[in-house]
Amino acid sequence: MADQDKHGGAGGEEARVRSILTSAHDAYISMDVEGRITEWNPAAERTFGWTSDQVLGKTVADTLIPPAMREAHWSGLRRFLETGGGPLLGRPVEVTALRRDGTEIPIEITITAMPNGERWDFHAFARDISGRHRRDRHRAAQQAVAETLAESVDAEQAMERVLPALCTTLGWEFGEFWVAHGPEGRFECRATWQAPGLELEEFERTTRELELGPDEGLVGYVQRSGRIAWLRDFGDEVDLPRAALARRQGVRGAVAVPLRRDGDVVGVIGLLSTEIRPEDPEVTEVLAAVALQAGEFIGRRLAEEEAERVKDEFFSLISHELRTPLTSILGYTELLVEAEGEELSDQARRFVEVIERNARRELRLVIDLLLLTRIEAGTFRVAIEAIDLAAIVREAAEVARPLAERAGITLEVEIGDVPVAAGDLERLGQVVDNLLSNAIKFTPRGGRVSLRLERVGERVVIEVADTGIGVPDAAVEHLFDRLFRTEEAERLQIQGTGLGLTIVKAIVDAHDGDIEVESAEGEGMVIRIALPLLSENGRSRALSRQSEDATR
Amino acid sequence: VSEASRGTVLVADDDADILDLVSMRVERLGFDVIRAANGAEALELARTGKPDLLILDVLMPEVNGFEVLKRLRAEEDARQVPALILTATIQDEQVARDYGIQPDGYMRKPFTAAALSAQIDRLLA
Repeated sequence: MADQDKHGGAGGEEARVRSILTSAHDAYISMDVEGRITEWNPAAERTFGWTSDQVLGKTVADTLIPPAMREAHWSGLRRFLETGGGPLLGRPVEVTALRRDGTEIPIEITITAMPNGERWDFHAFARDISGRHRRDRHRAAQQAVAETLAESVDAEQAMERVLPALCTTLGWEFGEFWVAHGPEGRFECRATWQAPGLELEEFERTTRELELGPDEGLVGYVQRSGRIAWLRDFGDEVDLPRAALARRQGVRGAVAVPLRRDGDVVGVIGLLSTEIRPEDPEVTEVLAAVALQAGEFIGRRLAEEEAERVKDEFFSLISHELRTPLTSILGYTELLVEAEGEELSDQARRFVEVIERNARRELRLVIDLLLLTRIEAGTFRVAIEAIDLAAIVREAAEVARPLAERAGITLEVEIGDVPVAAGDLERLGQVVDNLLSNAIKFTPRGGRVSLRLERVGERVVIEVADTGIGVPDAAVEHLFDRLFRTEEAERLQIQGTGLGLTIVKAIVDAHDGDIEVESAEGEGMVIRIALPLLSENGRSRALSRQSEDATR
Repeated sequence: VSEASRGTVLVADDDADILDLVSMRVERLGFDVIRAANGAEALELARTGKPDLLILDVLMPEVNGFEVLKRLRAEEDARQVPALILTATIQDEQVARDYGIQPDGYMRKPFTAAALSAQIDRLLA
C-alpha cells in the first residue's frame, strides 16, 4: 500500500485526488517496481471483475495479463528499470487484458512512470474498448456486404460472396443462403460457406440438398414470422430438421435473418457457429441493416432472373415450333432424293432443289429473327469455348458455294494456319454465313467473293471481300443498324431484311471482337472481323461476358 | 438383303413426322429402331427394349427428353446407354446443366443425314 505523500500535497489534496480516482469512469491501476498492484479503483473492479481487496499486492502479470503475454510484460519492466524508457509509456495503446472470469477483452491503456523517491511508481488508466471494437466490426460487416452486392453481377454471385463477408466480419463459422423457390414458396439453399479448417462437409452437403417449407426449421420459422431469430444451441432443438446432424458435427449457435423485398420474404441468411450463441441485440441490429440491403438486391435480381428465364423458355418454345416443320421439310426432301434416286425426273429434281433452297432461306430467316428477338429482350448469350475457326469457315464456304455458283460468282477461300480461338461455335458460324450470303447477294454476276482466315498478332481475322455494288461513305456507319438497306439495294430490288449485319455486329460484340468495313459505291466491300485468341485471360474475360447482356 | 443389325436405337419425338424421319434414317444406317411417341413411352420402352443408343427430342409434353434421360441415368441398367438430344435451341444445353445431366451429344434441328450419321458413329464408336 504505497500511500506515501508522493505528490507532496496536504491531506486535503490527497483526499481530492482519491475522490477523483474513485469516481473516474476509467479504470485506474497503479503498480510498483516489483510489478505488484498498489491502487485499484471501482472502475477497475467493474472492468476486470476483481475487487481491490482481492488484487492489491498481487502482480499485474498474474491478474490482468493473458498468459501468453506475461513474459513480455516482465521483460518490459526490467528494460524500463535499466534504461528508464519503454515503448508503451506515455501514450494510449491497445492491448488485450484478462478478466476475472477468464475472458479476454481489448482495452486502451495509458501508462505513465513517476519517480517516487529512489523508486518508480507506474500509473495506468484503462478502458474496455470491446464495444468500440464490436462497433467497428459491425460497421465493417455492413460495408463488406454493401461492397459485395455492388460488385456482384448476378444473384448467384452475390449469395456466394455475402456469406464469407458476413461470417468473417461478425465471427460466424458457417453461412447459408436460402431463397424462395417454386410456387409453394419452399426455400432451397443456394449458397453455403464454411470457415477454413472447419470440417462441416456433411452438414454443408445436407444443407445444400435440403428444401424447407414455411413450417419447417428455423428457416421456415423466420420466413413465416419475418423476424430475425436466434438459437442459442441449434443441436438442442430436437424439432429442427438438422438438429441431430448439428449435434454430431458440433454446430451450435445460430441466427436466421429474413430478407425482404416489398414485404415478401425472398430469402433467408443463416449464420452458424460451433459455439453457443446467446442473442446479441447489437448483432441483431447489424443483421437487420444488412438484410435490408441484401433483400432489396437479391429480391430484385431473382425477380429479373425469373423474368429472363420465362422469356428464355418462351423463345425456346418458339424456336422449337419454327424449326420443327423446317426439319421435316428439309429432312424429307433429302430422304426423297436419296430414296427415289434414279427414279426422279430432271424436272422433279429441279423442283425438289427449289423446295430445299427456299426452306434453307426460311431457316436462315428464322435463326436471324430469333436471335434478334433475344438481343432485343436482353437474353442473348454466347457460349464461349475453344473453337476451330478454320472448320467453321470451311463449313460456311461449303454452304455458300452452291449459292455463289447459281449467282455466277467465283468464291475464293483462303484459310491460313490459325490457332484455337475463344468463341461460340454456332454463333460464329452464323456470322460467316451472313457475311457470305450478303456478299453474294450484293455482287453482280461474273463478280468475285473472297473469304480469308488468318492470324494477325494476337487476333484471328475473318475477312470477306466482294466486287459488288458497295455502299457510299455516308452509309458505312449505318450498315449495322437494324433494318438498314441502301437505296441502291432497294433500286436493284435485292432481297433482304436488313437484319444480317445487325446480328453479325451483336455476335462479334459479345465476343469482344472488332468489325472493320471498307467500301466505296460501286467498288465492292471488305468486312474484317477480328476475334481474340484463346488465352487464359481472354477466355476468362469472354466467359464472364456470358452472364452479361450482349445488347449493343 | 438385310445385313446383321448394328444394334437397337430408341427414338423419341412427339412430332410423328420427325419420329418417322429420324427412325427411317437410323434404320437406313443399319439399326433396329424402337419408336416412342412421347416421354412416358420412351421411359417404358427404354427399360424393356434395352437399346444401345437413345435419340431424344427435348420438348415433349409431360415428360420431356431431359427428364427421361435424368430418370434413366438414375437406373442401374440404363446408366451407360449413350444419349443424343434432338434440340431446337442452343439454350437447351443450359437447361440440361440445370437438370444436372450431361447428354453425350446434341443434334440441332434441322439436321442433315450426314450429320446424324456422324453423331451416331461417334457415340457408338
